[in-house]
Amino acid sequence: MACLTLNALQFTMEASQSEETVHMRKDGVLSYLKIWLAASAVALAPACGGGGGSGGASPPPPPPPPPAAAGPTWTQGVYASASIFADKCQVVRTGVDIEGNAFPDQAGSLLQEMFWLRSWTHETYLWPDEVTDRNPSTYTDRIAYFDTQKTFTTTASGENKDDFHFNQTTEEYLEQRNSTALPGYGAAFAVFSSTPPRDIRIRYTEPGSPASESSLGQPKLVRGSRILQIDGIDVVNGAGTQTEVDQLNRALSPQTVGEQHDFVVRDPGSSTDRAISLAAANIAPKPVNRFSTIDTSAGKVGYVLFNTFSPFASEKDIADTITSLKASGINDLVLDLRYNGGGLLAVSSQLGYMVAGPARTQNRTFEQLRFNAAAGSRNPVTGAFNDPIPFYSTGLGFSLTDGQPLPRLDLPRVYILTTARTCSASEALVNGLRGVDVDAVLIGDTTCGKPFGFYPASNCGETYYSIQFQGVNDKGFGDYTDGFAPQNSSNAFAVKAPGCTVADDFSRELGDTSEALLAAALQHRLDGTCPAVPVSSQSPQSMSVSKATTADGPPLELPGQSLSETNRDMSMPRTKWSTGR
Amino acid sequence: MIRRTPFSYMFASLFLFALPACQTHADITPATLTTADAANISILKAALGDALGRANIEIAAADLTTATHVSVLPPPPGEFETHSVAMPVAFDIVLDDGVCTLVRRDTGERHAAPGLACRPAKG
Repeated sequence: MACLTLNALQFTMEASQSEETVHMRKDGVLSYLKIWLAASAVALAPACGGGGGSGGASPPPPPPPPPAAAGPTWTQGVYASASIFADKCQVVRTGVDIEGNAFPDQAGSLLQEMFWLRSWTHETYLWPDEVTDRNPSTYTDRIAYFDTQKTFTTTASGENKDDFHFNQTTEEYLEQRNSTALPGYGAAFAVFSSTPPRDIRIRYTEPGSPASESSLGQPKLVRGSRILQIDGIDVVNGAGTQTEVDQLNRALSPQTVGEQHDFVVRDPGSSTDRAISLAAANIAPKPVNRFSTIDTSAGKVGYVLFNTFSPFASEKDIADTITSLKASGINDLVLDLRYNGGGLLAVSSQLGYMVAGPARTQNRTFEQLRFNAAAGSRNPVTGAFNDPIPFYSTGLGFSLTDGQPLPRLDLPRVYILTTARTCSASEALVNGLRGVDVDAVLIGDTTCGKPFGFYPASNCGETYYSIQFQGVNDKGFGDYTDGFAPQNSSNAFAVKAPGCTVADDFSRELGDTSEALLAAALQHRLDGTCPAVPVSSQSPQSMSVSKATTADGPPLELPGQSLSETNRDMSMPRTKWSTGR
Repeated sequence: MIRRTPFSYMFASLFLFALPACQTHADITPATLTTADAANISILKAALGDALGRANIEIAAADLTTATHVSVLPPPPGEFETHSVAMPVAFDIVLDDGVCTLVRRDTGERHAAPGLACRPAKG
């Protein structure tokens, strides 16, 4: 590369030498020598790097100039580079963050922080032309200003075009992403009603967790178990004071390992109550919660409950699972993504490859990121060329060895179980497979509708999330902001896919062949039909008490649900979150 | 038509001078770590940290006494990063005139790792 650079330089000089020649002849040979020596010094240094120097390291930048006393001024439609305002903070942090990196803050002002938000949005937001340019000097709060830096248009369905614009403190952001395991019971809660009569049930439990421990011959909690009492407080109709509600919240979201609470629960289909005691442990949600091989009259079907693409362990976990299913001789696959909110796009791509195999995916695009128009062929956040994301056919080093070939099933279709919690990288899998004509059959409900992504940006102690790209598949399609829905869904705006609308079924364990979504998938696989009667009328969810309109007690916070699951407009105040812990 | 001037000859000679300099790259050989003990890994992590501008470096699992490259994990995605494009960053380990050097694959940037114990890869 270095020598190619020299060649290029030579050609450039030759091509433009006509003018050069005029001046050089005046100065004579001495000038040539001066130029030659200078050029030699410049050209040789980067050309070969001295054989062992730190070729890629750049010299330290000069110290920044002191902040201007008057601050930046606003001219409508004129944007200075965001880099001018980056890290110019009203409140300067000193020292290092929890990852050991020095705070980059320099003395600045609130105005500079807001000018940074304005320029950063203009440079990287997916729809900068739809953001009204507002004068930062008329704002006194950076978050209030950030909240204006988005589009306020709506989609055809009436939903906000941008439902994913939010922020959190950088301290919280770093703490969260470095917490792989948190105290919990290993139970994911579903809150049907947080006000009396309250209805809280179990979505699923983590294998090997306190919730799945055996007590009197059965797991302490099972899918669908309804929580009736905690530490003697009536969860359904009691807890009439904020103090009692706080007690319930603390018990549902334990903060320390070993913290113990007593529960009374009722299992689905049972008329008797059970008393259990749960002690919190450090819980790291397992990406593949469970998998099995189902024998049918038309061959073996693989079932996988895959709950998250987020942890690095998801790469190995799903690859190992596919290896096992392949060994068992399956000829169809049911991917249960009903609670999978996404995570690493690369692992989603790998799963796409493992399902479809090389014949359908080689040299095809899993997802192309589409940035704003001004970005051209570059990623405006990283500055790198915007290469498409392929269907990765090998390990990438997250938890598999980089380059290790992935197992593959070579399937022309895959059944995917979905709900509104099937989001983002999970939807990218659906879209990526559709892009290479793999038949993605959806069983369940409409997915969340998030073809977008962002690079969280931290500035002056706050971390901002603003939509920066939309993912499109090999066919260039990515317009599913109203989600993907099975063909017979009544949702008029979602992108329709083959399959059946079926309500989530809390009466059976996940992976049980009589559980409504899995049963519908197996039925559709056999004869192409959907269940005649909407399963929702038979599920405990439909029997559950709807949100009380005459609530006479304070609402519980929503344990077991992340902010992204409960609040699409994430600029609103946050509630607690923890999933499956 | 391009006329030859003394200037172009100067640059031609410059190019010739550059050639032998470039040939130092011929001395670059794939390498592995001599040992994967804590001390050597610590030196490796420090060099990778300098290269990436990060204090905390997590290396993907691999036997670095046989592997000729090392992957650095990205910071873990946060809970709201549900469409994360995070990827490990791969560095090839090479011996450059006897100095253990890390070459970032996606950019080609080279980072010397003084003190890191390497040896030429087998085979």
